[in-house]
Amino acid sequence: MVFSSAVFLLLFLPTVLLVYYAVPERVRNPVLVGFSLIFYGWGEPVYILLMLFSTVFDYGNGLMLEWLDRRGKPEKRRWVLLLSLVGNLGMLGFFKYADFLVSSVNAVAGQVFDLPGIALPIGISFYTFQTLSYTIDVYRREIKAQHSILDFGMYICMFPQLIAGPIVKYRDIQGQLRHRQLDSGRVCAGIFRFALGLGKKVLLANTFGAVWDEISAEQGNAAITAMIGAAAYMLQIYFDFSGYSDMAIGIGKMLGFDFLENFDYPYESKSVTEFWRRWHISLGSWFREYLYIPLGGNRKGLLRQMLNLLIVWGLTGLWHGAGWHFVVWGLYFFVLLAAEKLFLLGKLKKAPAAIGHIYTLAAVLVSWVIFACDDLGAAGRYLLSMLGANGFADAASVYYLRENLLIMAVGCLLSVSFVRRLVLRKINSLSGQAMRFGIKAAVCGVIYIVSLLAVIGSSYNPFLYFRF
Amino acid sequence: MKFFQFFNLFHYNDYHTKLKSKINPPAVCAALFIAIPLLLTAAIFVKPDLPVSVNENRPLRTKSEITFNFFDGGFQNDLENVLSDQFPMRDRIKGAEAGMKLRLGSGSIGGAYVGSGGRLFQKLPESSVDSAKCVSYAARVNRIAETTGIETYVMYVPSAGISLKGSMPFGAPMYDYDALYHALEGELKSVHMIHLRKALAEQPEYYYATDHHWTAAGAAAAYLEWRMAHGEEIAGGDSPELFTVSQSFRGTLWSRVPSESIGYEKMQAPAVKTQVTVEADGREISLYDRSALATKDKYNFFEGGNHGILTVTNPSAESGRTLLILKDSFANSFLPYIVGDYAKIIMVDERYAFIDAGQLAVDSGADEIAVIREIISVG
Repeated sequence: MVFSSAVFLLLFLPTVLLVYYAVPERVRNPVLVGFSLIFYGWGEPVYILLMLFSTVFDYGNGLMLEWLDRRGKPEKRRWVLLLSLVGNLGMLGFFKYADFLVSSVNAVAGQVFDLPGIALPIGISFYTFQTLSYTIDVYRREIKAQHSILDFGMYICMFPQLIAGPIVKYRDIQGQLRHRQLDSGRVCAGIFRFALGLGKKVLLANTFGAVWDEISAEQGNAAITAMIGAAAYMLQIYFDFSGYSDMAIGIGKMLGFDFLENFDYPYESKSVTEFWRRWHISLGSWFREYLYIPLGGNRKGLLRQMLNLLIVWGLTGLWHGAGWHFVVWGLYFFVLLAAEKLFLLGKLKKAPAAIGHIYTLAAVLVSWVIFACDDLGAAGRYLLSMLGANGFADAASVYYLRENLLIMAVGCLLSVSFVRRLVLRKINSLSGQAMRFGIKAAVCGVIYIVSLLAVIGSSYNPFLYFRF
Repeated sequence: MKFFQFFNLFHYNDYHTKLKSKINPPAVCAALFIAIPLLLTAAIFVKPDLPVSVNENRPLRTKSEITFNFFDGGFQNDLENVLSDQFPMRDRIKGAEAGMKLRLGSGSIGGAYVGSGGRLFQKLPESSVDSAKCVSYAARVNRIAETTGIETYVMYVPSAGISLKGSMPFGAPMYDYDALYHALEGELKSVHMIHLRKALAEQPEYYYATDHHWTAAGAAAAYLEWRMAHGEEIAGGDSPELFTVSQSFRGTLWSRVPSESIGYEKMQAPAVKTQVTVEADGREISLYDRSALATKDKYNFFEGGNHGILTVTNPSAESGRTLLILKDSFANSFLPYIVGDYAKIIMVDERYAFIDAGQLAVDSGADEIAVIREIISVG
């Protein structure tokens, strides 16, 4: 089930909230687990078993690690960690990368093997990273193992962040699994956040997505047309992904949880390094904590740091999808980040801020083309179009400019923090808390209703994370 | 009762204390956020189903069609579709959305281009056209012409966006008609081509403003080209007489932009003076099906819509010739012009009839074969 569907908005979410608020506090966790299983099973009934296995597996690993500590056999804990890594990554590798691996071998060695044809279970990359973070943190003794399978199950399969993130670390919400603060102010703040996220997804991202789909389907686009298409995708993926995170955070608040922020206006960054501190923050911090730093980070010399970065960014690319263009996308960022660490960042800091912004936006724009195209060949052709291989502009460029200039201007304004700050300052300068609340409620209410009607009326509602 | 603890669950916070009233605005917001969607869902399940959307011109998913197979996703899809399709005032919502976009001056709504004067065009960029399939179909037609030795005419109809380029939004991407025509012509060496490009160019009255088809006037212009290709001398004032069938025509493109701000248009048909018998799907039908005028799909006035095989017999025809037409829906409104010219016309729509057209031409003793279809339609 996806958030921007009629079933979720009209039936599932209000029912969950109604039941959740109506039942006594001690029953809320089982209620949430039950509804989360329905949510996941709605699209993939069979793969519920996989998620349940993953839950039980790492619940057991956590307890085993604790038991070994109690029995005074700490040296054996590493075998449990290894088991968890092999189990979780093996499962991810099998379900996500088996087809990719076989097709890659076939591409090199001829048609040797039949493709396994394994369907990718939705959200597997997100919940696998969550279970891994739990086991690794228990291994590091940063957290205690969870003894309640129900509470642990709720952490893994909680529906708000299950299929499109953010990747929630156990230690960030372990206290909330038992004790959550729930009051009308927080619930309402969650509703407002959800409405804004839904609006981002349905009203903005889907609009930009249609432009990208239309332009990228054509061969021989002029440079301006190709640029408009790439910019549209750049806006689509930001509003889609950050919209999903907003909705997840909003639902979390409605249920009494506080999830960490996942996006922080990444398009106003002045370097690619800064961009990745603001984009999909939960993934970046996962790779930093559980891969980059354990590999040695920057503590073992420059060469080793570069190697560590190469590994991290190769795997970051692969995490986003099983395809060589995702690997190239990750390595592209490795090159940029390595260059920034070696010399570019210093130069950017000395240069006017505009240079940093332009460089970052251009670098990210190119990266999204590699990311969005189906393969490297298509990405290459599209990038050549952007460079003017089919001319600078034509009549179609005029058409696309005229049709999309206004909405893209709106998208650009909303993708930086300035407008939000301005609007909030205006609202907060009004006298009377009731007035301020009323304006926020009216704005979010209108966005929610218009988005709901758009979901009802439109057949175009892409889900971008099916490859994650 | 536990259930009603819902409203008490929210602590009275500072919103309440500042207001010094018993109303807790955030709690009211939350209650509305839960109650309104559930009431809408209840309304959908209580109200009688709408079987079709008149504006969208499609059947709607109804509650009785919900299957209860959870494991193959059938139930999930059905429920999603029922909630969307049976949503209260769906048609009005879609109409309001289209109207708003029209007012904002959007040049593209719901898969249609909005041209000058609100004229709607099918969105047909290069990627929407399967040129290879078109070429392969043309090659097949040429083979039929060569193997049967029957005189064959091919009359490709340019899409409205090609003929009326001046009315399209400037620069709106469309397929390259000339390149496609050239490629098809290259395959069709053994047929007579009837080129309609000039005859239909920049004549707004030749295409509907809310439908992708040509009007009776457009078909009439094509008929003149047809007669010239058949060696007839055309004199001025030779156009057939048209009569008005409906003043309230709104076509398939309007269903994509269902705004009331787009008016109705006139639908016409040629007066047929010859008595003919029309058969389709094993029963006699009428050349003009007036019952279609009471429906949304008024273009079905012509022969009641598309049929796999339709036969027209004209005992009073002077020529005694038989014509086999391979066609799409453009030919439906063209047929009335030529029924008087042939003793028998067999019209085949290969989308609905899987037959060997060459064999049929031979078996039926056809004296002539004609392909009449929009240039981009295949199969």
